[in-house]
Amino acid sequence: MTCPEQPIVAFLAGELSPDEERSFDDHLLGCEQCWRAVQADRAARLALEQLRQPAPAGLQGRVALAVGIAATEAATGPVVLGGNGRLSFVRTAIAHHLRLAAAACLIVVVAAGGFGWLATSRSAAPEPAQVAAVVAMITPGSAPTTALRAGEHLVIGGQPLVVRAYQLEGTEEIVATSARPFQVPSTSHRLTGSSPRAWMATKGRLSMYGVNRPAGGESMFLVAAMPMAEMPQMAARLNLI
Amino acid sequence: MDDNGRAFLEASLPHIDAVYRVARHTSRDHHQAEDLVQETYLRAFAAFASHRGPSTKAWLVTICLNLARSEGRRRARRVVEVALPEPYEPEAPHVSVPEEALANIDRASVSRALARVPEEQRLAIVLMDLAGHSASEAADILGCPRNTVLSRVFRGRQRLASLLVGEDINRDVS
Repeated sequence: MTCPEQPIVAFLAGELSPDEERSFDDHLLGCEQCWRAVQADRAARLALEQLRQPAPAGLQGRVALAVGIAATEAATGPVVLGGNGRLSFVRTAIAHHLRLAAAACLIVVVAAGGFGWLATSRSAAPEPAQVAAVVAMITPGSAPTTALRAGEHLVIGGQPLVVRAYQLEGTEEIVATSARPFQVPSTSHRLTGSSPRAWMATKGRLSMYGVNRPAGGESMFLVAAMPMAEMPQMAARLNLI
Repeated sequence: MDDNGRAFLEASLPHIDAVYRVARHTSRDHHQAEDLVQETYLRAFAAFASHRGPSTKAWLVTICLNLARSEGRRRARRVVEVALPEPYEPEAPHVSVPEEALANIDRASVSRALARVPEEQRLAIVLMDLAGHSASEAADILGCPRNTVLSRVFRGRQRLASLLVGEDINRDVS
């Protein structure tokens, strides 16, 4: 004989009146089917407790980042590199390693200004997700979040990276590091003449400076609201290069 | 980030564990689940200005489930799931399942077994047992009567226990 489902569902949901519950308790003593159903329900609930795990570490940061990008885009339009005149790249040659003095770098940038911007590609290649993410995270004038100061571990576009924020002399710097080289926009121009691949870019008041290293080395990418010429020096101060 | 973005994250991030649990058990794997959570939050952010519901968690979970169903339909293409009438057939295991019998079963086994529970029952379990919704909230999210939710949860747990007994036996043998 099959007992009706409703009473046992109500019993398990705790929705029987005291009298009904006493009556159902009596029923359980003599009904093997219902007794097993109650046992199975409780065992399943116990097992399910194992699945009440928190969201993976990093997901909250990833979500906050995605929302931050969406909020930025809502306010300023899509974040893209090149093609829209909002971003210019510096093309120049640097003779040796990347530990450039600010003055020397300024000369390079000024010299490049004469012809470098002319060489900037006009294609509308989208900004790599990692670059867009880091650019979207910087809010000039506001203090970095606690999570960023500690180092936020993220996976963007399939690439694991760590994003950190610093404040030096009142200026915020956002730094992304990764064991894998960052994807550089196809429109960018790299700084040649040195073994690591480095690149620079500007976007409004923001300057970007990246160094990609071969597999096994740590690649980095720095964004700050400061003159381009000061970026390599800032990267050196932060022990990034 | 502007004030709207901050307000949204302040209201929504406390519920990310519940949203992830729903996503995890409506997705193939944790990668897809994390993508689903991110997409849920982006959709929710886009609609945040018009959100007036009393429960932000239920709102987020509803968006998540709708996205999961859309993705499921996209993947299934020609496979159409048809809801059949659900006559009550006791699914209690042939052997008794005391709580202690499943107390030490590992999480992966539970997750695997839950994935084999019929979808309507699984969703009701995920909403109530994993995401912590009441039967009434789950009913609102699923768009069905509250008693239907309770019935699905009951049947789903019965099926799950039966499957876990099999998992437990298999584990002991292996």
